[in-house]
Amino acid sequence: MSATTRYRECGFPFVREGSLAIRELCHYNVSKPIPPGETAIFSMCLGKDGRIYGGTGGEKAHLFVYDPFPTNDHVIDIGIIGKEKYTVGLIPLENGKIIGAANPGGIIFSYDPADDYSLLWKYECAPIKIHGPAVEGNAVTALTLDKTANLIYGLTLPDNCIFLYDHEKRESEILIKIDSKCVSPMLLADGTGSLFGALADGIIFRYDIQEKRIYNLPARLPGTKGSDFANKWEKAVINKKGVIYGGTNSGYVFSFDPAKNSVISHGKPIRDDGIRALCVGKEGKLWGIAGIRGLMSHLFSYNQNNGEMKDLGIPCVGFPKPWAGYEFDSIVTGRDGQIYMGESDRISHLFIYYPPVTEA
Amino acid sequence: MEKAINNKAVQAVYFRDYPDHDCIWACIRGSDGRFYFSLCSEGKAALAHLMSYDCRTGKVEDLVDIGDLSGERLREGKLPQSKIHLALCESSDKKIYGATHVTAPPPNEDIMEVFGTYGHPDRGYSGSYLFSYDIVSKKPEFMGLAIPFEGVRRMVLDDKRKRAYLISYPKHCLYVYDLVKRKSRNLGRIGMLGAFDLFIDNLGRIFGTNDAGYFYRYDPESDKIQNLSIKLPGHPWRNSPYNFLWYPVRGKGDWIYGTTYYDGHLFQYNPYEGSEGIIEDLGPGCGKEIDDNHWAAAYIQSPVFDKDWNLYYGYAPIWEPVHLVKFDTKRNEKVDLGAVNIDGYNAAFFADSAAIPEENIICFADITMNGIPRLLLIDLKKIQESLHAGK
Repeated sequence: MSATTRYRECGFPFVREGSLAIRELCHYNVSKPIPPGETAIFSMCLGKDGRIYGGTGGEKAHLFVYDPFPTNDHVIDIGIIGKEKYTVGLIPLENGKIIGAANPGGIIFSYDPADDYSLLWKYECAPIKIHGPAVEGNAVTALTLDKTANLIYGLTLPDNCIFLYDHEKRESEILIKIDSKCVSPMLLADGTGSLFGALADGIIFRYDIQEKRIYNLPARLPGTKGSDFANKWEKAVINKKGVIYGGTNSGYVFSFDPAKNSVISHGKPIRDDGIRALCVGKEGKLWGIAGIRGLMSHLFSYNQNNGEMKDLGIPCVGFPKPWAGYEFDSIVTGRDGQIYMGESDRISHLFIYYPPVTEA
Repeated sequence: MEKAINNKAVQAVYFRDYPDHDCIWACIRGSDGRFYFSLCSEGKAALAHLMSYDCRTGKVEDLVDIGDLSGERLREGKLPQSKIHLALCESSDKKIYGATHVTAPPPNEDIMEVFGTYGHPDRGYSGSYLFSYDIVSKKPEFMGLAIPFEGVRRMVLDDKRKRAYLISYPKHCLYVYDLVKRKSRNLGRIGMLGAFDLFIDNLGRIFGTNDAGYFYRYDPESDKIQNLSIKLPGHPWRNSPYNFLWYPVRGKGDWIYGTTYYDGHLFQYNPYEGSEGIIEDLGPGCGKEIDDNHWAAAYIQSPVFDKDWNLYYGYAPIWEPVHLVKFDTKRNEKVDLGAVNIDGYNAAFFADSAAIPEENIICFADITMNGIPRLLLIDLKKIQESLHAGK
């Protein structure tokens, strides 16, 4: 085996299953990208219009939208949310509006794309509406949408408040202050009247919306034996069957069945700690970014049909320039099954992953 | 027959006692008149050495073995401290500062993989170590880890503020290292694998470019990186994403000279003029633009000035024998002095250069076509005599 072949087979660290593309945060070759230091993408969502919305952070936090329509295929910088801020938890509402939060300060903002459009030579955007802090004196650590009720819930720090946010009235209602030393920065609405999160020592809780009461469940986050006390639930997604997938700060991926109160650990996709982002693909696979800030992010997949957890490698492209992404904090599935990953570095891009198609 | 430089004007220094070391990457002139350089390895696992060469005596001294100094020896499976890249600088208190680098494979291994082993305690690269060598007391000092898990490709010194600025590898971030507190801070990612070069101006501002050749400027007063609109010159119709800053060298007055990577242009840049400085294109390295079907121009390698402000540099497409070129900056004339073939070995790449202008000596760190590293000491008086004699 030649040295090159050996390297490609046994030493190549970059994603080579499926294919990757990048988009600079601009209309490529027409406008300048969002400047370095303002491009780190911290949250993304798939809008009702099929476009990908992203929120950045850094010297200025921007809201942008990527339009994958073939004759467009560009990013529009909608506007600036604030200075020295980073965005959290972009959510697409049923009416097409986008809601998000920006820290420090837990500032809620919204964007209505109803009248915006873009062509080859022109684009029009609506203004970003800054609503104000969700809970005074608190940062927002998570936002989640109850899709059944079309209601937004959030979690704050340092007061550990679960709040309900009325985006029409621009008002928050604090539902409960969680009395726990260490609440994980994650909240997930399952659409059946419950919110899930985790407390100190990795204890999973269920907040019953109707009862307005927290239940500490017997289920605990998976982790390395002996350091369970430090476990935190970092990311969560729910699939169409109602199964909740989670990722912990120690790098474990798990599934949680609320009906059975059971947690099944699927192990760690890579050696390092951290699960930075999760999404469910159209084919039902779990896709995610593993790693912690300062090391190397890896794209991974988990196939619940055969139990395969796969480290796919470091995202890297050769066109339109050689570029590898080392930091990612958001991932979302596109309308046609593309996996969008938001790079979160000083110079950042939108990565688009096209999973391989299996032979029939 | 290809024109060759006058071999009598060149003295080569070899390191045959170091068979595992196949390159020299850094070469500077010390205030004591010696050349200080790094003996490194790229193809095979070995530990880097800081060495010196005294033109007056012809003596080579092995000053620092990085393994001895850091305590990190060669170990099976572990990426070694095999280089000191373009990261040797002397401070005003007569200390040579150096930063280590990676890119040789582990012992008994062909694959050098920094990305895939990143952060691994056993297999991964530990990170770049900073050290100093006092040229008066002749004592080295180990200063610890400058950047965890990453090598350093270029270092420049801010003597006044007692700082070093470093470009890391593989993540390509700009770091600032406080030489007093011995702590580093990541100022942010700059590019991919290209634009690893930096220079410092008289105000302590740090300049580099992104991979596409656009300048950025770090101001230590504001602690901010500013993206400038100034771009390096290149071939008129190319919009290369790889044409970045390479080999900056201080010229006369306020000018910084340098070259561009893939398009092979020389330029001069005045960072003090206007809000972003001004740049002037000095054209391709030896008169010829890159051909339409070529991907990269001949490289301009390690430019160095003589006492009359003539610029000398190596010039060759990759893997072809290097020619020595003289650029008369006053007349804007470039002269190909000929191919560098010494002792039967063609020069393959001039990694770095230094000069003792008052003695009319320039020194190139040469990697030969045979993978044998050497220093080439060139007597410019003899080169000039050859030119006048028409040889």
